[in-house]
Amino acid sequence: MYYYLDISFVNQDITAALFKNHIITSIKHVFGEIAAAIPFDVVKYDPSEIRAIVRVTQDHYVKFRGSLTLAGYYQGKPCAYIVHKVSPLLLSLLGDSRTYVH
Amino acid sequence: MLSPEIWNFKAPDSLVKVEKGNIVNNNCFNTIQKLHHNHLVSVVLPDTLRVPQNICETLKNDCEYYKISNVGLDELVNINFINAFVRKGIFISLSINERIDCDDCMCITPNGFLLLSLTKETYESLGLEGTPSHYYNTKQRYVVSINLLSNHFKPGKKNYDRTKDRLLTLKKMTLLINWEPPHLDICPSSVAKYFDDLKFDVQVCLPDFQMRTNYTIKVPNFTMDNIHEFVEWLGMFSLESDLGGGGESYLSTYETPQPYQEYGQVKFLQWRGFFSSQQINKLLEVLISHLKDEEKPWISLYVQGFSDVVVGWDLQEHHYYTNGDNGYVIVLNSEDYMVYQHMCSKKSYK
Amino acid sequence: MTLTSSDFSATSKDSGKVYLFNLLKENLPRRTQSELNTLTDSTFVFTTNARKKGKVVRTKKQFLTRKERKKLNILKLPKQDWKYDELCEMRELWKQYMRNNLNLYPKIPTWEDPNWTNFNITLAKSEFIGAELTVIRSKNVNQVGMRGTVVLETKATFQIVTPKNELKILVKKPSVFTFTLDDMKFTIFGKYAIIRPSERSIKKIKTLLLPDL
Repeated sequence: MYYYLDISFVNQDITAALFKNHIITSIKHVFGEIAAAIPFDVVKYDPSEIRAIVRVTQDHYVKFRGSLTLAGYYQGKPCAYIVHKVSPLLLSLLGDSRTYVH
Repeated sequence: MLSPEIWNFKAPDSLVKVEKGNIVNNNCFNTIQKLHHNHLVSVVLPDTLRVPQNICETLKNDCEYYKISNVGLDELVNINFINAFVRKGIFISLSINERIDCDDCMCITPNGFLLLSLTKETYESLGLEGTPSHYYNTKQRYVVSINLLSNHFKPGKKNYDRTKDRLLTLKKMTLLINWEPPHLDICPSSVAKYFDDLKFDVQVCLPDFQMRTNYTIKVPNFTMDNIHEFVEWLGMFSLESDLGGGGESYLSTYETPQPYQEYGQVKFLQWRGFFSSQQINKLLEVLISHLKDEEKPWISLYVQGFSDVVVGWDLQEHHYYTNGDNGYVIVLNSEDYMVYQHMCSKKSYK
Repeated sequence: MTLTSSDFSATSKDSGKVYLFNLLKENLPRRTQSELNTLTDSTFVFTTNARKKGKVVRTKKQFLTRKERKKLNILKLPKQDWKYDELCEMRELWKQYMRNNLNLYPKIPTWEDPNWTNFNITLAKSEFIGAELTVIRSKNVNQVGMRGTVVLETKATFQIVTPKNELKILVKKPSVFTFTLDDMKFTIFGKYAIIRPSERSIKKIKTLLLPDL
């Protein structure tokens, strides 16, 4: 079973590969070498918003999200991840009723 | 060093229920009836060149709902209002721009209950009897339930007067309302007129409709064995993500599940707004009849509820932990159906 | 050495002294024994018995005991026959009293002013009988919104007469009360007002309290 996260990166425009690389670096930073081998997939990447949908297995979800929270720097500049929505059902990332303007 | 406490954090549970059956029994309509406040509906039609008009229009015509700003909740227990709308037809309503995990929320269910989910402080100063929420062990949240259709709930009765009096002190909210009249000759907009006459700011909202066509798509065959992969594929397709071009990729290892078939055109339809379960019912009927008319491998329907509504499935209390999703996927082929029900965990965290 | 019974037959004071002298004589080193004679005139506190308590003669009391008051049924206020309108005079009196009480302060301080604490203490030490209280928040949700004039205050309750001429007993602990005086509005957390009214003037009042139920 997987968990899906809708996240965006606040720093500067980066490519999808660098984006994934930075997440791996921050996992390694917090949980060490073995955790850095956690498999996860960047299922969709939107370079204009630096926003991605990431798939991670249920067992590693908490560690993954923890590392996103603690990721502090990208190339020496402060950075942050915004988690827009998280769900075990990928379809529910289609829209969020909280942010929808009626 | 691997510390087991850190390594073995469990992800929050989520409940998934899969149900399958024969389409003749019409059991799939039961699931729809259990979720009353629906926000997002999406349909995937594989191998379709032209989408029939009636599918697009089922959730467009007569699906207007109204947004009323700054309503005091005492208006909703007004006896004229109850007699005119809540008693007749099907009336549903919910508050928007209020978050269920930190603000006060309100909703009206089709069986005529006004439900309030309140923070401890509001509950204590509101002064209406309620029960502590199931999800907060520390009694930080309370649920107040008012039966609007009770025979004793009318002016002159102590309970009615007090309820109305106390609701007056509650802060004003922005509501969405959706009313289905009991007869076809009554216009659904009468409810808007009622609030307009009371000098409230009423806005008509139309569901937001989007349609998309994707070309040459690998579509997995629908069988009962690979439900989870199939539903995941639906998500991948609906979100227009990379369906796996084959070969090793650094970014994603996702591949379309085998066996698949390639179709020239796959349509994706999506509506967003505020729908009652009756409206979803109608759409499903249209989809079933469409499936009978034309030979299609399958059709899927995905419905998602509101995150911040007081009740979820079956009028049970709802909460927001990592997400506030309640939703279901219905996949139909010419004989069978499959319902993939997804709900928030009922576990209460300390 | 053993003591003979005659030693004890003397007055209790002497017998103790004799016993002590004998004991000292026997146990002290010989060279210090001569000093013992210097002690003969002194009294030993622990040898004298405590004075026996004489029987307390009850003076005729000036008041009724609690038991008697309970028996006569004057601890409880009558449930009926209250007139809210007739209490108007009492409310006016209380307002006057409160104004006098707060007149000590030239202006109502805000929390930044140095005399903010003093002001609060004055307020907390005032009397509430005659005040018009409203319950604005309560764990006992049925009491929220109740309003009335205080006619009796006990350690744990306010007893109020509502405009409907009913007597209501409000428990202080789970509720927050409010009253207005001219253009000022005061909020009292009942939880921090659980003091017998008669003891309030001498009770030390904390200045930092958590405003939650």
